[in-house]
Amino acid sequence: MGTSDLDRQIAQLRKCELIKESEVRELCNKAREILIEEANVQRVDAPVTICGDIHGQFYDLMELFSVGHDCPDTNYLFMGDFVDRGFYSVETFLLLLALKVRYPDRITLIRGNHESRQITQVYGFYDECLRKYGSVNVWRYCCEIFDYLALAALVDDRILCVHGGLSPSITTLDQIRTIDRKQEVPHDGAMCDLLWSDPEEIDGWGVSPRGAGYLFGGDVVAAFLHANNLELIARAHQLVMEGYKHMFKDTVVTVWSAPNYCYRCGNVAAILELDDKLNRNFVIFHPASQDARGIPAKKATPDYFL
Amino acid sequence: MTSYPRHIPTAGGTPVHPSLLPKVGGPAPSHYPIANLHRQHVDLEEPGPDPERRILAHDDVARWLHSEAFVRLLAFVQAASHASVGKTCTGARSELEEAGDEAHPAIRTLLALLDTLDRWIDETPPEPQRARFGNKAFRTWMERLNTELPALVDPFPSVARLDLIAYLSDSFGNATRLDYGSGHELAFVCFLTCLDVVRFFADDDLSYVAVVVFARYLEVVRRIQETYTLEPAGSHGVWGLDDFQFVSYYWGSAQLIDHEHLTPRCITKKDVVSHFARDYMYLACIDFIYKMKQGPFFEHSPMLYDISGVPLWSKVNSGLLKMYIAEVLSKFPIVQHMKFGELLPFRPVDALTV
Repeated sequence: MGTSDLDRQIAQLRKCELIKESEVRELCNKAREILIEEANVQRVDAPVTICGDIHGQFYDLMELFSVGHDCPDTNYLFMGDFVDRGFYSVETFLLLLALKVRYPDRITLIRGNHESRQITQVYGFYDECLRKYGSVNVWRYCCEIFDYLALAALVDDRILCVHGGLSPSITTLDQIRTIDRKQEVPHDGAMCDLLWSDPEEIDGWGVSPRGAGYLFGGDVVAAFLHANNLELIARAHQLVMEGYKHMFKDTVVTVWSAPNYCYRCGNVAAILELDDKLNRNFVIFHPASQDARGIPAKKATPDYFL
Repeated sequence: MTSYPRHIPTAGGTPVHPSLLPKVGGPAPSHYPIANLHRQHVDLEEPGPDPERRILAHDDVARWLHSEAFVRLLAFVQAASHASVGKTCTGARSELEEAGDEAHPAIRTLLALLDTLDRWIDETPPEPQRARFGNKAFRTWMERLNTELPALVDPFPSVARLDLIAYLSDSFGNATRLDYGSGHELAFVCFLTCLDVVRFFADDDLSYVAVVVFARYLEVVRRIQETYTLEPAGSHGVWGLDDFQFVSYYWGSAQLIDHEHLTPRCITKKDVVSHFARDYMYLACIDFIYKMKQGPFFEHSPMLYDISGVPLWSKVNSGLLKMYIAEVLSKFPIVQHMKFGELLPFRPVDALTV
């Protein structure tokens, strides 16, 4: 697959048009070759723009690229949860993956808790693949790629980016590096916690109401930052009305990039721009206007009602 | 991989064909209807243990689907649906009023409970400060619920006390995450099922359980969702029916079966929906969606929009039950939070005795 093929596919995906199943397979093969070389904690150089959950909101991703400027002119780091819930998980993920293959050093994709076979069978990505391609092959190819995604990213050795949060099993970055990540997200343990945990106003660790991962307090964060010589943990995973939210004296920030989540929440979205000195600038954006949004294909009557 | 029940047991008569099959690589759900189950009752002399979670790993989902709890829940949910056919919420309320204060004590007790919880919303206004999303005043409301629960369940059969407390405490959302989802609605349905299992409902109460009691529950939770801006917990987004509710649509569709004028298509007409919302739970739910969501209906609620193309409410009704089993009751992320005690027991059902 040459560069011009890839550029054509990117152009197609940018118009929210699907690429063929055979092209998906080839794209995933290429992506695997790149991702397999990435570390569990992938090193990223500033300047970079950090983004949170997208959840298949393709037209809002277009809005994100509009305010943040296109890749590769801007370097991007997406913190997972590309799929599920929205109409366009397929187009969203394949575009980001194609950009990764085309500009591997300009975009970093790390894994969210939704990049999982089990979760995507509940929350929509599986259904979407089946509906759009008539088979589960694209879903299978994508799930295999999910297994190769890095678990975290480290910007200039100072800012750790992870989808969920911290784990009681992890006190050092080296411990993250020793995980065997090439598997389905486990139900518990360090790899699960990194993708599922949430910061909370508590001391120490707490049971997570999600049923996976943990709640972790400011004292845990302070200790972790100190032990690893970090200044900030950037993460996603939780809806934020104002697009981003600091906690624990700005040592944790949640970045959420899906505006008007579920068409009801009325939230804005945010991206975090880091310049080459790691200065932080949050850019807020709103959902794409109604006329910028495509019309989702009408679906047949669900099988249950036949 | 979750395996769906190979059969739903029936109370004597012909065995049932599988109505649902494993999704991955498997054939589409069959057309065969789910058998009608008989409501299950027990006469406990002593209370059972405090209900606990039992679905801890994915393999446990199959055990849940083959459990006595599942049969009892499904039987009650079906029975309440059958009892709601052709009944309006307003009509049922009038009937209750006309029947006098002494009639249907079970229903009145439940309404009093829900009225109390509703009043607490007025007494716990949202806090002005900006939290992540949900309003922290909801934690205050929930603390009050948990403190007062032992007293709130006094009017109900004492043998069910621990079960009722366990299910009610999960029926209104999660205090830590400030969210609400179909799992919380399920907890309330479990609460009602337990009451039925210990014979709290008389047979002539059944036609009020969904269209009066559950309709009132929906009013309360909608107020809670709105007042405290609760997050949709584990919403399936455009791939799910509704961010918050499901059973409301199932029971609600029963009300509209054989309606002379209102067809499933009517939900696309905002003014019709708004006019009949007070009579029909299904329409009240759609009305709430019109109120809370932005953009065209077919974009933000495509499943409900697709269902509006089904010709008959009876088909909507039977389809929703299948969908509920497949999309809610069979999904680990939702049912992992369910609790099981003696009234909704985790033990395997003996199909022959059902």
